[in-house]
Amino acid sequence: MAIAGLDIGSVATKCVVVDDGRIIGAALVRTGTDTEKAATRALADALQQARLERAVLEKIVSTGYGRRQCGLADRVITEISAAGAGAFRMNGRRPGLVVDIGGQDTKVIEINGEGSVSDFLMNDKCAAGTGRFLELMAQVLETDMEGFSQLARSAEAPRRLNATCSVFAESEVVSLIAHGESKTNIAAGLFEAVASRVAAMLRQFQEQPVFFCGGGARSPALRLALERLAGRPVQVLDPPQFVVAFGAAMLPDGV
Amino acid sequence: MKPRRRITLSRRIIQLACLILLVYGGYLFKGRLAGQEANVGEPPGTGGSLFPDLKAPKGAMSTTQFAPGSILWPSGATPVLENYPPTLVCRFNPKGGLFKACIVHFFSENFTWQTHLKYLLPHLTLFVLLCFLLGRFWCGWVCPIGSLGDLLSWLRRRMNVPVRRFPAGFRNALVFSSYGLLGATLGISTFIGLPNYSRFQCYWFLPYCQICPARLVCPVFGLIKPGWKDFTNGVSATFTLLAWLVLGLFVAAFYWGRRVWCHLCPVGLVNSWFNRGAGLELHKKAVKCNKCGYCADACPMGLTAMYEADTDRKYNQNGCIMCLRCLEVCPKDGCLSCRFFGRRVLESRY
Amino acid sequence: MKKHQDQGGLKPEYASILDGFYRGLAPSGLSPDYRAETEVYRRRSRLASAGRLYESLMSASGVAAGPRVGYFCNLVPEELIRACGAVPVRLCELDHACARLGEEVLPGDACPMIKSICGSAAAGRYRDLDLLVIPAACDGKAKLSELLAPVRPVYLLDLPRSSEYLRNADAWTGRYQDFFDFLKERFRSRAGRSELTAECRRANLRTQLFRRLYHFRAGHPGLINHFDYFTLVSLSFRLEPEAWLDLAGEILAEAVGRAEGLKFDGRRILLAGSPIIFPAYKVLDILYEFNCEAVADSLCSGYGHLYDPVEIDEETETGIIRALALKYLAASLCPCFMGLNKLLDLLVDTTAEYRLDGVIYHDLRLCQVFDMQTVAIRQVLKEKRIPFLSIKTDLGREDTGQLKTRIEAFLEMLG
Repeated sequence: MAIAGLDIGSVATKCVVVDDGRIIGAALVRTGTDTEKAATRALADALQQARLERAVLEKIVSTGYGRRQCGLADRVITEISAAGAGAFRMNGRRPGLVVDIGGQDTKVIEINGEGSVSDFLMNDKCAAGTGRFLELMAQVLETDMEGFSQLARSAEAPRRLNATCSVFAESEVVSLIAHGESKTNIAAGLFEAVASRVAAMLRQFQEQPVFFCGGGARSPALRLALERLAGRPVQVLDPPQFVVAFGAAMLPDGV
Repeated sequence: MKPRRRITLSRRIIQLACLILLVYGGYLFKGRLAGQEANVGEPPGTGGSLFPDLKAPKGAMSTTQFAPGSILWPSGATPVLENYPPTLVCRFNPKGGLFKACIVHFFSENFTWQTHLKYLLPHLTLFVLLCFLLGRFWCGWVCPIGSLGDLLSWLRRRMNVPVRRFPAGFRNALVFSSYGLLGATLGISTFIGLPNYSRFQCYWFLPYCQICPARLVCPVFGLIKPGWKDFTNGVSATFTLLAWLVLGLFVAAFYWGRRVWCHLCPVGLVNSWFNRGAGLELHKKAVKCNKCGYCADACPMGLTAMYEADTDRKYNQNGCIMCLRCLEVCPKDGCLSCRFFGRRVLESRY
Repeated sequence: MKKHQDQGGLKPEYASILDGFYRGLAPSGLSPDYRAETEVYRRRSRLASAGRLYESLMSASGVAAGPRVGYFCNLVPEELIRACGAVPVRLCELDHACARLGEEVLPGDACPMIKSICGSAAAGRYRDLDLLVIPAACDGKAKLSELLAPVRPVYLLDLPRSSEYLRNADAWTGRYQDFFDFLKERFRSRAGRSELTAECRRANLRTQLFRRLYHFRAGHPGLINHFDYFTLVSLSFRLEPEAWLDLAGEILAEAVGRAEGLKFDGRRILLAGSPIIFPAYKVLDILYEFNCEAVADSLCSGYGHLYDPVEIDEETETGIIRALALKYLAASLCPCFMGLNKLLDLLVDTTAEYRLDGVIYHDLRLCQVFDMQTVAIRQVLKEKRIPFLSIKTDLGREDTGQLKTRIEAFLEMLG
């Protein structure tokens, strides 16, 4: 029987349909202001991809920031447990640390040998150092996320930035551009600023393999910056954005 | 059961009972023991000197005779079990006192008389045994002088006079001095026991006893005329003056400073050597400690090791008189405990 | 009249300027209304006697008559105030509306409690008090002694900021003695030993009942829920000990009577960190939603305030004042005074003793001190295998969603 995992994030709503431990359908839509609508659409898209009827689904598990605003779900769990379970399933059942950089928050989750969460850390309520921050900075540099990442990869000397608060960082970036600093160095600096915050969170835990997921994991520049600053290899789980939704779908029958 | 307050209450009762027993017990029990008291000399203070007949009775040192119901006749006097529990009350109270010697008296006397070790062995064994069982328990629960001192402290508190807290350095200096006192006492006692110097025995016998506060205090309680003003010659006069001085110190120490005196007392010193190995142990569970300092504040001996401790183990210190006041005031349940050979007897509980 | 050195204050000229400014901030005053909240918590309680508890929040009964002395923190010995015939009222508060008003005097990122106090003062809520006593517990409180001076006369209780008994016991006793002398002079009291002893006895009766209640809650979670508990403790800030005993005794008696066969299937945690005072129950609300009970705490507004007895060793006046100093400064849990050793010991020990599921560290951004020790606590508890969650929040309710995610995930993690 198929199970749908719905991850209603602050920026995007992800849905996967899982049958027998395999993803048979996945969809991603912008969350916007109406979570219910976004969830319904994501579910419909994923079902269409899986070529399944809604009635066939055994259950729908919702997670993410809007998990309780969604009337579709049969079960609700937090994105932290879901991310842990999803990452454990996707990385070949290895314990380690899961870095999840989402739109609104950044988490580091420690999973043990049984695949359950043994500890986690989250950033503060401010959006500094999250995916949203990177999106905003891409806008300031007049590019999209992909271009932003490419800019950073061709940097010669990443420019260190002092601010990670979106508002202050924006004015810092603007003034750096005015002073003639190259966009590539600024872009690399911005990735390093985010990565250094994550690396600091990682250092709160013992040395373990690091797995990377969430929207932020799509950016190779961020992964490289994180590897350099954390001083250890970082494995991106594929597909990074669906790890949480996948975990939500997998959790009901245990990890 | 809540040991709160009950420890101090029991201690006061025991102290009072011991005070009565040790000071007046003789009147209660002596009659029955009369047959065994054959060799007791004249009570002191009756002659011109403090110690009218200082020499041990002839043959005392070699006597091996057994009296009915006793183990030995040491130094030609009374039987061991009555005579020498760890430290005993004073020879200055021979009539009323059930017991007649403290450990310092015991050593001084027998060093002078050069009593053969085998005759002392029963006393020593009993002394050491009790010390191994209870450590310096004597000072806090039994010692009549200490009890009288506690009474002085109580008077001070009633009169709303704050206690003086002396720094650790001062207390250590007192302990250091007590070694001096003990050393001098035993040294002099040994010296005057040498054949060529026995002439000094008349005035130098039991040198510590002659300045001990008990010399002036005990006879009063024992309803005996005390040797308050023995100015027979220079030596006696000096001893008498010293005794008065020491009594003043004693009163001052107890009045202002709780048990400050006990740091200086050579009897306490000998007892304190057994504290660390005693069967009676004080333990601390460090994780439960909230560092309130109640234990250190309430300690009459001013000890702080229990407060400072941050590992779980036994904290028997030399200065500890086993009054268990720390355990009583500790506000954290199960933080401090008292064990007897590893068995938990009491623990702090609010 | 003897001028006391550590009496806080401002020159009359500056004070009147500041007073004029305060009066302009909230000309019509500010009287927060919590009837709705009270009703919610009353309904959540499982005890019938809780009705009286929440009524007491709104009423002034149980408060003695006499000159009223407002004070802050649990470093001020209420026994001294009571002994002098005055009525101590602890003013610690966490009120969002007052804090917002306070932001017009203080920076926005200042401690919410200080903002709240400052707002209350500016709104004239302290004008019926005779004296304010402010301990120099933290920098914020020390400065507050000047900022509140225009409102009411202030006594700054300056204390060496360390809970190390050996080093500071004499200094604390001296400061408390000065404070007592000041109070006696101010309220023309001839209080001495007997008054002090009587007050300590009253306070200890409260401690005894509190301990029974605290212990009972750990063994029978959910019956006296954490709202009832924290409300009860908040009430001790101003109720006379007897009135408090009456209230708490009734609650405990009812709870004990109903404890038989009661099952609790939720989680029991220890709540550490910043104080929790009615109506700032945001975190408690979330815990309640997920069937999790805060059965133990290390808060200066909870356990730290009532758990330790006054232990009079020397029944002289100085001795009693010293005993009070030890209770309030060495035994109690003011986070600015309390060493990390003591906090960690308490967390490890309480968790083990009551077999709690974990520790939640509630950081109200009260001051940097709380934040500074988070990592140390996290690392030690991790080593001790005690689940630990740190949450940073403030008085506003806008981050409820994020807090829920963290707390729910933490509870899921506990299994």
